[in-house]
Amino acid sequence: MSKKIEMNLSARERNERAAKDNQTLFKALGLRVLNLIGSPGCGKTTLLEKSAAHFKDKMAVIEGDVFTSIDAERILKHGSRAVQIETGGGCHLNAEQVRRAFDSLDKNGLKILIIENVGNLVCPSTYELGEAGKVAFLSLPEGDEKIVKYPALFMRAEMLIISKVDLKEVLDFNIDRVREDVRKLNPDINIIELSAKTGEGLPAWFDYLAKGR
Amino acid sequence: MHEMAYADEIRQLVDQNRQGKKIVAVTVETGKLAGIVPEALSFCLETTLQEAFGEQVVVTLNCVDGEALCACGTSFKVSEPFQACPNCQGYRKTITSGKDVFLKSFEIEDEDE
Repeated sequence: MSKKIEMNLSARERNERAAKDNQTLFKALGLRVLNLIGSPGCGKTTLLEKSAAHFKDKMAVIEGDVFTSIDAERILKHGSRAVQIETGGGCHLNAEQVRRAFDSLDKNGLKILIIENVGNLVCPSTYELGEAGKVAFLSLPEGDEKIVKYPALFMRAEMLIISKVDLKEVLDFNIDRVREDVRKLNPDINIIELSAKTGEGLPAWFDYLAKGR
Repeated sequence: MHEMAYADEIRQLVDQNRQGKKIVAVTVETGKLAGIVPEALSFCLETTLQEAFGEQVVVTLNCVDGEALCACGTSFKVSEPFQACPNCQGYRKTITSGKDVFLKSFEIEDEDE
């Protein structure tokens, strides 16, 4: 004989709760917090190097990678605070990891906190970290059909960065198709086309970091 | 993806709530928008829960449609993210359910016999 016990407990709740705690803390400190998500090599860190040179000690970056602290070191060289999370195998960051990293940062004078997630178009999109918004990246070399291939991320992002646009002439990338696909999924998403290399689109990006949508 | 991580979280939730009683069955529900492969989750749940609570544990996994609320006011069932609203054909929708994985219930051995 057995007895049934009703539970209705969410397996996502622990991370959601940690994310809400993070969000409460970030708001209390008046921080603007963004979660950057995109494939390995799409240009997140290079764009953050330019951002660090612009915002200096008003900005801090929490870097997420499977191994090495290469990215945190790059940010530090350009003038912003940075701390590295090495997941050692995990394919996305979670809220508890982000909190521990944040606790180790000096918060004096901080206005902007960027979380650069592990390079991955799939997993990070469904794990809340306490951010105000997600920024999705798609670079020109990756191809213009990726919006429909990875809808979960582009549905949840408030901003799409189309990066490496300096390669427009040498690649068959249909920017209009990307704009159409993403607006169909997410009508309110903002879009910035930029090149960290040439500087195109950077003023709009800096504006977005400083003031929001 | 992350079926193993979900299975482990379910194991922890069962363990925290069973008050030391012997588990004979566990029912889990996943939504079609959770990014889960049901067969993979089933396998991970069986492996994890039987290892923790014994070979007698019977695992049931139900996979349900999600629900969305369109800006036009229509509620409708969704089984994948690109679905348009059946009323206005638009895509301005909020997903209200279907992204989660739930421990619905478990059955303990009834010792009062």
